[in-house]
Amino acid sequence: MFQGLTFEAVELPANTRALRDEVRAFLAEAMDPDELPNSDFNTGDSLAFSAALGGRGWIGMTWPEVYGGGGRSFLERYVVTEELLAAGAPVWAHWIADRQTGPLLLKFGTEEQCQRFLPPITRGECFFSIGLSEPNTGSDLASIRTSAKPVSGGWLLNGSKIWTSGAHMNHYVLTLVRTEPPSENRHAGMSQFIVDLHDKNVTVKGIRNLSGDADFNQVFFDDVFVPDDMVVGEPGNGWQQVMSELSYERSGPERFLSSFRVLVEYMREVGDSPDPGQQALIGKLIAQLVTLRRMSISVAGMLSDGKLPDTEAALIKDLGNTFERALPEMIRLQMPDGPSMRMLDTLNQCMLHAPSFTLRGGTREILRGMIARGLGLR
Amino acid sequence: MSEQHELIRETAERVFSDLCTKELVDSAEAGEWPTGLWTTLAETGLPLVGLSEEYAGSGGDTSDMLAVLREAGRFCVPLPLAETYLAGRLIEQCGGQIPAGPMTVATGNFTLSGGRLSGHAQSVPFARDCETIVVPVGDGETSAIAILPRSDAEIERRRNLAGEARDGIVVNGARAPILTTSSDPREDLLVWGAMTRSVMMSGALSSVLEMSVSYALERAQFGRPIAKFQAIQQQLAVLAGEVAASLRAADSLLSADPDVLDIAIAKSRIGEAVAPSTEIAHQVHGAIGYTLDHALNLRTRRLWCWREEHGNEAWWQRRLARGFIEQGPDRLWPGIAALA
Ligand SMILES: Cc1cc2nc3c(=O)[nH]c(=O)nc-3n(C[C@H](O)[C@H](O)[C@H](O)COP(=O)(O)OP(=O)(O)OC[C@H]3O[C@@H](n4cnc5c(N)ncnc54)[C@H](O)[C@@H]3O)c2cc1C
Repeated sequence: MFQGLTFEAVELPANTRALRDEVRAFLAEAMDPDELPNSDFNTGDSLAFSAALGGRGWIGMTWPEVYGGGGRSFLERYVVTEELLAAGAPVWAHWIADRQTGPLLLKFGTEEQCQRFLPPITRGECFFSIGLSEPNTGSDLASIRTSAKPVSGGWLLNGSKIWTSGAHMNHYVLTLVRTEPPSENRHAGMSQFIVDLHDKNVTVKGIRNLSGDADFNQVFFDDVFVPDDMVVGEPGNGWQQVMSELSYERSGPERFLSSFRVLVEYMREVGDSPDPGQQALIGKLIAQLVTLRRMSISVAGMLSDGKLPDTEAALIKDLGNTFERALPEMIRLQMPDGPSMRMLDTLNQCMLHAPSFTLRGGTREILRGMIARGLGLR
Repeated sequence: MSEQHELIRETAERVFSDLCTKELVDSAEAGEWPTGLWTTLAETGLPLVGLSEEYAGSGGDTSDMLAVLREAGRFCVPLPLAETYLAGRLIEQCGGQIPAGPMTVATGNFTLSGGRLSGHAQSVPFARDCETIVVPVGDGETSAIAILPRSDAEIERRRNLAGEARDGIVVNGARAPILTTSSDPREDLLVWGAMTRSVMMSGALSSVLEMSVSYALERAQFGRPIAKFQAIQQQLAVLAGEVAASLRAADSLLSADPDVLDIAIAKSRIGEAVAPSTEIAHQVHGAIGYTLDHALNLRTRRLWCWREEHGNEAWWQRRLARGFIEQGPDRLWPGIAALA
């Protein structure tokens, strides 16, 4: 068979059962009953919730205990994550720091960086943004222009990042910048910096998305001094470092659960006597969801075995995003009497964010290109 | 998976790839029983894998047989392998001895009166070629199966759109041996039947992907292989996603003693993969793939048939939804998470 198409059955270890129950009990207490739950990871943040989650040891769960981590397995983290998303908990504030920044620092950061940043992240007190995209750089990430020049004790950073989610409320942005001029090897000469978003030479300007929320931003760097101890990994190795985390970013439950609450509300809507079409739709979505989840857990198993399932992760994200975008479209047509207010609110909220599902974290077309590479077509 | 399991799968793959040529499938579609292929398989014991030796089966478990059927799906094996297994399993469940030779199963309108079986069924797979037709005759009170010799049935030859024999049968007061069971054989047949079709479809789908990728790499237009066109790459990536999901859904049946929910999920998810997958495969193949001579249609026509048999997607989706609807919206996620 082809590379990247095998998703072996992985069973969640028995110890995740008690953990799952604990998370559910926690959520029953911690969720605000007046808020409409939203299972899109990128919508809904609460500092109090993140802090409470950190208090339970559920941020940085897989990191070493010396840095405040939980020393738990990747599959245990998976269970916590999927429970939070399925419940529609407000996870956005700590999401990036937990999913991406922490693991990246553990892999490439210095001892000092780990000691400085990881403990507050695990407490749900320190939040990070990702600074990759630029006004003229989207899918073609190697074309970035934001650059830094070496100066005494560090670097001087100039340029701008865009679509930087959460930059208006987070503490730092982990940026990818050019530290050497472009050369024949397009992927050489980039580095990763931690930049303090409150630096006086950093400007954050909110951009409203079509739902009216201003979650992403343009971030301007105007002669920002970045000390050497804020460089992550080897200068020049930025591209490889960024690429190494893509499987983590792309294969998790957030890639197919974004519209899950719409299905929950739909079941509430149709009650215990749906018509045959409604019943089939519910079954259809459950069958797709269970299959996606099994594939995603399979990749989680590969990741915890130290493999690099890039094609598999791209495939899950593509299938998962397609599912989460199609779900509200199918449901809206199976309500002959029209939706209740609660259903409508849930549906609307999803509709307004759905266009982003197939863009953020790598567009559908880029993912399909990766799958095609796995098939040996390119 | 055990070594034994892999050995059985490999044996099936070898026999099918050696013997189950395009010509053989064509001649079977034209009405000729593939004697040589059946004989070779019978010698290896493959048709009765998954059935206990105590009842004259070949031994092994359900997952072994499903691995054979997945290979059969890949190679479009024109034999009642699934039906022989299903008939054997119904007989085994009743504690009967499994007869040799190809068997099939019939669901239709049948009644038992004074030990005599009467009734009719449509679309009985390969009825004309099987010595034995197993007929579930549950009437609410007694659950039983009749072991009907073909000679006691009137056969009306029909074919499905894949050219597979799907015959009508009529039975008038036949004295067939009856075996009783505490289970509901109609339900069992439906569930196990959906299980066999699911893995067969997953095999055929994986073969459709292989053929499509190879073809895209071979066929050149505008001075380069069509695989180099992004439009083709994107289509094949979608096909790969459908196939990967189907294989994963089928794996849930292969791993252990499959649960009816897993079967419902597989039949629904894999059945749904058929339309986009066959559409893309035919599009990528161009006109040559639309010819009878090309082997692609052996897979695609079978997929269009198999998704309908033993309950199509919508049927299984409603069935799958039932339990979740009873539990209510707030138990949806716990129900999903419980499906390991
Ligand atoms: C809600 C949201 C949050 C985001 N948050 C962040 C963030 O925190 N940090 C960050 O750095 N970025 C963030 N992004 C940006 C995101 O990573 C980019 O949107 C994405 O990489 C695509 O870039 P682009 O939008 O410039 O589109 P482009 O790359 O310009 O693409 C436009 C269209 O062209 C297609 N296309 C481009 N190249 C090819 C190709 N080679 N072959 C075929 N088709 C192609 C794309 O698939 C797309 O359909 C966010 C985006 C969204 C929507």
